Amino acid sequence: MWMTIFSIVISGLITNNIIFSQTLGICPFLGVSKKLDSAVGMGLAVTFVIVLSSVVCHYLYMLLELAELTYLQTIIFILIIAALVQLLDIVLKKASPSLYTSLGVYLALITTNCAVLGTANNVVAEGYGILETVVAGLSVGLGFTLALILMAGVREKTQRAVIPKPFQGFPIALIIAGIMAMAFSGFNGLFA
Amino acid sequence: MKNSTKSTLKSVLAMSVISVVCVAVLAFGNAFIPKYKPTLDLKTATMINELLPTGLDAQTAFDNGYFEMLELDEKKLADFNKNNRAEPNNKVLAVYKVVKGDYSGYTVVEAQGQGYSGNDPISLLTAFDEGAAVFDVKVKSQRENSPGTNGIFLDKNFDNFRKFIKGKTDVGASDIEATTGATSKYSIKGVANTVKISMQMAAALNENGGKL
Amino acid sequence: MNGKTLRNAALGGILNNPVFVLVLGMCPTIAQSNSIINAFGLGCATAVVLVFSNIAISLLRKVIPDKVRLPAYIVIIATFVTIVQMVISGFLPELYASISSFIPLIVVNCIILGRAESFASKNSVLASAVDGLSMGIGFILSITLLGAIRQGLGAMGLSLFVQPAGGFIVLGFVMALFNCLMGIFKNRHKTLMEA
Repeated sequence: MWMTIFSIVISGLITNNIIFSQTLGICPFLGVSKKLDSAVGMGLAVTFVIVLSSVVCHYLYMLLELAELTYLQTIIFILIIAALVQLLDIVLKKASPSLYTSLGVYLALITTNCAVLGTANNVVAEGYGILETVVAGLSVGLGFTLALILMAGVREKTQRAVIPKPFQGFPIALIIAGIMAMAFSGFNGLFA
Repeated sequence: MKNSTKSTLKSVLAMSVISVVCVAVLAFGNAFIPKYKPTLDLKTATMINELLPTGLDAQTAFDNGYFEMLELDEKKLADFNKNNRAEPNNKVLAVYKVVKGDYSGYTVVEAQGQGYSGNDPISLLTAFDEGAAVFDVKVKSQRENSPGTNGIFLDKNFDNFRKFIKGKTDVGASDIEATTGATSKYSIKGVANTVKISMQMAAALNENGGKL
Repeated sequence: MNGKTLRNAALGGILNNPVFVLVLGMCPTIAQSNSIINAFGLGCATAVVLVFSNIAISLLRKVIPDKVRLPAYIVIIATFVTIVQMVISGFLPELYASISSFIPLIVVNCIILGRAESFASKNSVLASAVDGLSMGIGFILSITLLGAIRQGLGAMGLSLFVQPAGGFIVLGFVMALFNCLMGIFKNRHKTLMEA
């Protein structure tokens, strides 16, 4: 039991990192990783949505399976995620206006962050129980945050570097991400 | 005030109509788009003929009904896969039976496994004798360039694996790793999971007289 | 029917290439470009959804109230995605086995919602269909090109390139090359670009 939980945590954070290994959620990863503080904010907001949506989708999928309507999975999951993001939008606007403005357009984009739907689908496919679902959601989200923070750290430095014109912007960011993914793949098989 | 109520009502109505139409379209699709069912084709028959030689060429054995596909209850097969899989892509796809010749009564289980999300699955044909012990294994399909699959399917490794697994009714990933000497962890896991679920299927069929 | 809109829509797949210029749909591009067949398969599935959702959304553009615009688009797109999923799993089980986890994620491919929001919701059905087709072909070409490069490098024994890390790196270099070529092209054909 604890071994399973432990391996889910390690897998979500490092060995199966949502960005570097599963390559999900690349758009916000490239978009919001220019500054460290907005990277942290975005990471935590995404983590919140991932955990909540995984839990809700976990229960809804049980209902869908009972009713033999599993072909509605995609449509229902994405609607749930959209609704949760809307909720987060309303809550943040009231609770933390400064974070709300700094996240700006990216908040709405969490709906189309494939890390969220991808994790919900994975959790359901793995047939996790509720505790495992929460742990998986949390560790995938924190893995995403970790990737964002690492990337922001490097990109703040590259802004002062001389980069050939065609490589400026996204290309150099992708190549940096590739090198980081190589580093992360070194952990493969560490905790099988 | 009245205006905003009206527009909210309109929004809710439009959304409901769209949702109902979409769900109806999906229900229609679910009912009428045919679902894939593995069948006993010549390609599979040829492989079974190599695993459990009938002494005839594949086409003749296929035409004369040496092999049969077991009709498994779809719901029961899905439940079996759900209860026995090691990872989401790990599942038994079909079971075949040899009905004539020297190996009459032997079973061949077609299953797939992955072991690592993001990779293409590997599917194997595992032949079992009448006591549900492994007789031989064959790779049915495997994408050559899948990351992590390089290595284990070099001929020598796979031959070692076949020797190791013969006569066994249970298997662990670490045993396979030790005997094959392959370096790639994930594909071994995929192969081990695939053989394992095939073994469970063979045992279950043996216990229940060829039914799930 | 505005000829200019139509021409721009038709050329959009190249000049505004969804992957290399608009930088949309990165996730499937990197994840599924590890082989030509996976890349082409997912590219086609995405293009089909894109064309049909563009047509449907353009048809409904005057009926859908602005307030529920996005959820309505998402529901429509999810429906097409599920239908495509049913068709692929029914008729192409081998392809389905390798790309199955990425088919549902077509829903959140920003190319599709992006075109729905910025093009199909404002233009006629014909122009939207052309835009969807052009963008779809642009996506298929880009992802298949990456698939070919990565599979080629992988076949030479550089297994790094079929792994996610290689996906990031190859995409970065191809994007830089595309930027370079587009820069030259734009200088030579200023009139075309301004038209």
